[in-house]
Order: sequence, then structure tokens, then C-alpha cells
Amino acid sequence: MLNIIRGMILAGVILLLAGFGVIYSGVYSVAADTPHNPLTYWLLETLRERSIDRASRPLDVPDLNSADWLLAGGPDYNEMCAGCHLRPGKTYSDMSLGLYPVPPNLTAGLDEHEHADDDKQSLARRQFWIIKHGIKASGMPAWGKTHDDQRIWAMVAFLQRLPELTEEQYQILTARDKAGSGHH
Amino acid sequence: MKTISTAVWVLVSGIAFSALANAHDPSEHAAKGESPDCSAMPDMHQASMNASDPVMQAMMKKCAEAMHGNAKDQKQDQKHGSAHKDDSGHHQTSGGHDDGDQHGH
Repeated sequence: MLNIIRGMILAGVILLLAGFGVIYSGVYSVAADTPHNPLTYWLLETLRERSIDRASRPLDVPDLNSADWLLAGGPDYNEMCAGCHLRPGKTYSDMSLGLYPVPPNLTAGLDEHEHADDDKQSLARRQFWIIKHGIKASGMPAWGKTHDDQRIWAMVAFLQRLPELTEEQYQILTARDKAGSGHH
Repeated sequence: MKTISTAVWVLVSGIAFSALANAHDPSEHAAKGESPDCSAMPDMHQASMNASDPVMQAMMKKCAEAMHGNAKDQKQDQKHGSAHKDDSGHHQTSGGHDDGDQHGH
């Protein structure tokens, strides 16, 4: 029994040393054009998804089904998000091709991207949390440092309807009027 | 001299700080303002779009505001045009409204 415990401790120490060896040797590529190995990808993705899920759960989602929310959120989405997360009629951009992990295409319907099983409320909570707090080492900034909650919910409201919008509808809803949009 | 340099320092810091604070104000984007292209709206009306749908309501609101804004701009252009004409001394005995109409289109 003692030998088993000793063996386990030794194995743990060896694994730890090997981990430090990999980190300090610099052999692991951090280049954005080299994908993670499946184990690292799974670890990071699981960590991210679980963390967002837990942190966003207490949020109360306001009623986002109104024209004013869409008018307030549309121009902000176009200026702050569309470069990476695309807009109707675009399937890629320099940013969407260059970033790793690849930013999700938010014009894709719920059944097309990774949160197909999530209900709308849960998705709205997650989107609000991600926009407000950002995600470490992913290229997603924390917009909450410069934008209040009202403005972020407006972007979430726009995201809820984005997959259904045609190019013409998107253009109308996202055009920022000369006064800088009075819907905020 | 010291007072002046302190005042300059305070002013410059104040301007820099206010610029920072306004960096994400919606009005910052006004320079790249784009007009909504509402020419496709009649087709959308005839298509399956529901008038009680928030997307349709938002588009109608946006286009109504854009039309209102254009009408306002045209009125201002007309006013500006006639004021400019008065200033330059080019008085005409008739046709003052014709000039305004030209500005309006």
C-alpha cells in the first residue's frame, strides 16, 4: 500500500516537472495560425464554457423584444462587433480569419452554432456577460469598462434578431444617424 | 509664470481627460454617420413582414426619422440659400421660391 502511494506521489512529481519543462522550454506554439492540440483545446474550451455559464447564471434578462432596443444596439454592433462576428452577406473578414480561437459567426442561426441547445434566456445572459466582461486571451474585449449595462443589453437584443436579418434590414437598423443615434 | 504654467497644465489635463471620457460616446461615431437605405422598405411591407414585429417597427421608425431629418435639412438649406442671397445683394423681383426649390432637390 505504501509503495502504491509512493508511486503515485512520484508520478505526480514527474508529471508536474514535465509540465514545467514544456512551459519553460518554449516548445509549445502560441502562434494564432497554429491550432491547439485537442487536449489543450478541450481544456480551454471547457474552462471557458463552464466559467461563463456559472458567472452569467444569476443575471436577470430584461424584455428585449422592442424596436428601441434594436435601434440602440444595431449601430453599436456594426461598429464594435461586425468586424469579427460578421454581418449578413459576409462569410469572413480579415479578423475572423486571423483570430484564434475563431470568433463565432453571430449571423448564423441558433441551430448552426455551438449553443444550439441553449434556450434564448440563457443565451442572452451569456452574451451579456461576454460583452461586458470579455474573454481572456481570445481577442474579445471587456466592453463593460466603457459601456453601461443598458447599452450592452441593447446589443444583446440586436444579437437575438441578427440571424434573421437580410442585408437590407441590417443596413437600415445599423445606420448611425448624424446625431450619433438618440436611442441611448 | 508658475501660475500660468499650472493653469496650462490643468487645462491640458482636463481636455485630455474629457476626450478619454467621451471616447465611447455614441456621438463620437457621428462623423462616420450613414443614412439608412429605406428604398427597399415598400417591398418588405408587401413581403411577409409583420407590422407588429419589433424589427419592422424599428425599421419604420428609423426610416421615418431619416425622412424627417432630410426634410429638416432641406428646410435649412432653403433658409440658408435665401439668407445667402439676401447677404450677397442678389435680389430678384420674382422667383425667390424657385431658388429654394432648387436647393431642396
